[in-house]
Amino acid sequence: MRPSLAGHYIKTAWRKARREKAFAAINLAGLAVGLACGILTTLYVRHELSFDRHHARHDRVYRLVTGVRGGAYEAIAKVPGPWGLTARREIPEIEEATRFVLMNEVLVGRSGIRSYERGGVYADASVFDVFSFPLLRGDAATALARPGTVVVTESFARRFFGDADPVGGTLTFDTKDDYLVTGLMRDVPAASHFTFDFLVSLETYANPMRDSWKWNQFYTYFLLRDGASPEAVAARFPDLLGRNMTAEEASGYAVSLQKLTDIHLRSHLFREIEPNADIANVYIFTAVALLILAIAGINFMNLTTARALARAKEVGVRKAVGASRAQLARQFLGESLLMSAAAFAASLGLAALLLPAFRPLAGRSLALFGPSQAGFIAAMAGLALAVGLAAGIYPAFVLSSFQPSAALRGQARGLRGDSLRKGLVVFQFAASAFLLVATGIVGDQLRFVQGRRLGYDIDHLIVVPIREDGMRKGYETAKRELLSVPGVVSASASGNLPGGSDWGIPYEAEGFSPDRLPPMRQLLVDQDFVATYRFELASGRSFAFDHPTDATAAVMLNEEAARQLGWADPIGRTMAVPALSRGPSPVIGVLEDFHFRSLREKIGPIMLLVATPEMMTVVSLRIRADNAAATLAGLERKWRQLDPAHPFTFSFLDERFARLYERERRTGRLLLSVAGLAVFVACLGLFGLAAYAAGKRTKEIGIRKAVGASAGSIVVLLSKDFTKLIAIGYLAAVPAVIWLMSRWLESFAYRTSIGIGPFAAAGLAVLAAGWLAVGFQSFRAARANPTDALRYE
Amino acid sequence: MPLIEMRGVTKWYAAGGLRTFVLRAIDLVIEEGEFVTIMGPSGAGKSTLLHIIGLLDSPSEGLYRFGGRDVQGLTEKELTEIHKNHIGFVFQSYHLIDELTVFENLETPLLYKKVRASERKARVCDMLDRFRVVGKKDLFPNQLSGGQQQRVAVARAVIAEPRLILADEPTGNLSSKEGAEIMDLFRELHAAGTTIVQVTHSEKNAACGKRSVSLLDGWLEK
Repeated sequence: MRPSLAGHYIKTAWRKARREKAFAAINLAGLAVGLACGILTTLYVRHELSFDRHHARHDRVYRLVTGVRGGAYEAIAKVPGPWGLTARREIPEIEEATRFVLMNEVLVGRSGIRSYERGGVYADASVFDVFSFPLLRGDAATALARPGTVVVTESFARRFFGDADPVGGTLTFDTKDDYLVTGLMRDVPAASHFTFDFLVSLETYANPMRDSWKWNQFYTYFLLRDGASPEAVAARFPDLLGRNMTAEEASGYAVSLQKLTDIHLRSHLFREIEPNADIANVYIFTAVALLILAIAGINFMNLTTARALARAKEVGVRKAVGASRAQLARQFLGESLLMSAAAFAASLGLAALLLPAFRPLAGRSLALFGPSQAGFIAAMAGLALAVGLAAGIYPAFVLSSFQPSAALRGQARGLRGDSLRKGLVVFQFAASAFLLVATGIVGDQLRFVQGRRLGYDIDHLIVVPIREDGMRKGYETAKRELLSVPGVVSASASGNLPGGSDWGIPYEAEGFSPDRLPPMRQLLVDQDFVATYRFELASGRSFAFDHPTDATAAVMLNEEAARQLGWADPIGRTMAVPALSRGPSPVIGVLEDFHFRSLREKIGPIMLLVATPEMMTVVSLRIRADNAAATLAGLERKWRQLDPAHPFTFSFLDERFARLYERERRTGRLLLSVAGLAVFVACLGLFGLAAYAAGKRTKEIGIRKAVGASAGSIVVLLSKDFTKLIAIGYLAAVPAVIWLMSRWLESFAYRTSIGIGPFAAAGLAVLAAGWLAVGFQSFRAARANPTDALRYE
Repeated sequence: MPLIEMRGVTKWYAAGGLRTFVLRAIDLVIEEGEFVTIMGPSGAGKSTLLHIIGLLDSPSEGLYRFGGRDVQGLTEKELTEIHKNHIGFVFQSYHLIDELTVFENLETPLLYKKVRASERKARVCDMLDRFRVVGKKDLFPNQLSGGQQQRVAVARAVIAEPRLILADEPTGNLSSKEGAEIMDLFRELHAAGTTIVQVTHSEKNAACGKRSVSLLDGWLEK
């Protein structure tokens, strides 16, 4: 196209857009939303697929995982400590091996700065040979070779050393052990299947089970030699295990190697270092994004083609003054490309705007702009132009084919594919209704789980971890001291808590052989636990200080435990937990069933025991609802007297319970935003169709008005057909959403029933949105002067 | 060789299995330089005949030669070439492009003819001057009176220096004074040698032409 003609077309397009602002804005917005959606999804998918690829030798790194036959789980991400080292010694294809052990939270201090740190990992010195963690300071070969050495990441170092060089400095762990900083490394990239703040040499790790073949505690990674086959390496393991374990133990292991780059999206083993993502999410996101992009593109095409009718005259005139069909096609195609370019610019802005909101939904740290993103942005621009081209070809073809004499008389040929267009609207509204109803049901279920009585009272209950051994041993004294703080109602120490941290230690029960016992969970508590948590007693009594044997020889059950053990009257029956040195102890009381896990799980059998002091890990405090801030301040002051070495930390139990449903809440939020998008895009489609229909029926409307129809009756006339389409879409969605959401609800043992509420709300929402979209067009058509419509001929 | 030669040109539209005849067996010959008026009542087929003459529409049957070339055999490209170079249209409702200024409307045919920018400007300015719309060159059509719009439309029709001007009720929407001005323009063009075919109801306008033909129910009456 010659520049002068191109300029002429751009001028025409720009003035056209200014004249029909609403149309241009809506068309632009629709495409921009679709593109922004595509951009964000691509960003997310690209991020998900990039995990662990920053390691230079990622294609040769494998993780050792073991399946355990007959175990409580299928496969575990950890193996015993000696395995990795033995394999490296004996199997030549393994170039290097490195192991990690996760550290517990530790109080790290340096000259007045102290904070609890969860980001510590014990690592072999070979970690830097297997993985690419670039050291900014220090020598990778020796940094973690000796006990008591630590390599810190930049952001961790900044907290404790500021801008000073940390290497050669000292960090104090748990107020007593000094560690020498021997290296400074860059922060672990976010796209890693696990991250850490500092590495402590594994030599430091002094667990007596360190060299045991029976203790699955080591995350173990191999660097295979170039060209080595992981299958061949894995085939050597049975022999290796056979020489180091008893035949019975070795036969229980199913061994495999897992590619490093597969871990993030495809590994869902027991004890993953961090919860991994799911490749299914990547597929779903991609499919949804492509769908939205396709629909936005088709809507763009529909709107453009619909508006083409109004440009029939222009086409006729241009043909009369000598425009060729190709020139006209180029003009209209150019307009649609121009529009898509503008939409792309808008979509970049929109994506940047939405990114902060999108990050928590996708659960990832994503960046849109940056030096490495130029190629990505260019690819997205290409995509935008491709959509513009694809969507523009059809209108260009239709417009340029107008028969000039008919076009000049205002008799533009109608467009074929009416049923296709209507089908698209039905589909869009089905999808919108589906998503809206699903959002409503997820919301209902969340309200249900959070409103449900747990069988005890978690409001105004705070949990404080016990950090210091002296306090652990004298926990009764500590409780008394904390109770003296005004506002504290009651206090209880325990080894674990309801809400998922219950234990499952083998037990015995009178009259049962071990293989007939139902699975049983345990809570390790003190004598004040039942009263502090306000459990309901079904029969018998609670642990009490005036029964001294309760501390060593008494258990409580829940009703479900009694039921599964088949004990109509459990009081006085005896149970034992040898691993906790608890001999046969009588059942003294039964609690009404209570939810000690999330509501996804059915209430199972559980037993309560009084813990020994060294097992105590937390103090639960019930505080008065009023003046909680003052109570907390008082508690902190008291804590400082009791344990000056460790800062006071606490959490509210109800918030911890709310976190159990974080995934559902995230699903709900994601659904809501996708539903909003779907409704918007569907309304655009409807808007386009209504514009087209109103344009096609201009003459009919003119005649109706000429014979006395009111504007209102015209609006009804035009809206009726579309209401039908919306209704069909809605009705199509109902069975699908009932089916799918029933399946989803089945993942909860305790669930709300699917009520009429979400359906009514979604129905009203799609109808209202649809009428708004159609109403605008209908109203415009109905208000038009009938003589304009009838002027031709 | 006549500019326009029609033998037995017939036009029908198929509607519900029936043929609705608009033109029936038209024989019409127009020589280069003629000023012909087509008259007739509403629905007689005048506009259709004009559109067929101007290659905006094609006959259902019959022979049509434009400048000696049989039109039926022409490709779309060749038709466009003839439009661009030989035919100018003037419509009853002006049909200027709303998004373009007077200047740009006049420029459009030259753009399609790929005339160079400097020459384009010169020719547009010449037209603006000749048709007394210099002061309006940056206005949009909806800012002009009907007579002014039609003067621009005539200027646009002649800017590419066509051999034939086709005018479909050019004064139908104008006041009698404005109409008279437009007819004066046609007389001037005719005097300069351009062939003109106009459709009109008006006896007064018809008087400007040298020859009149009448259409009734699709039949041409000599």
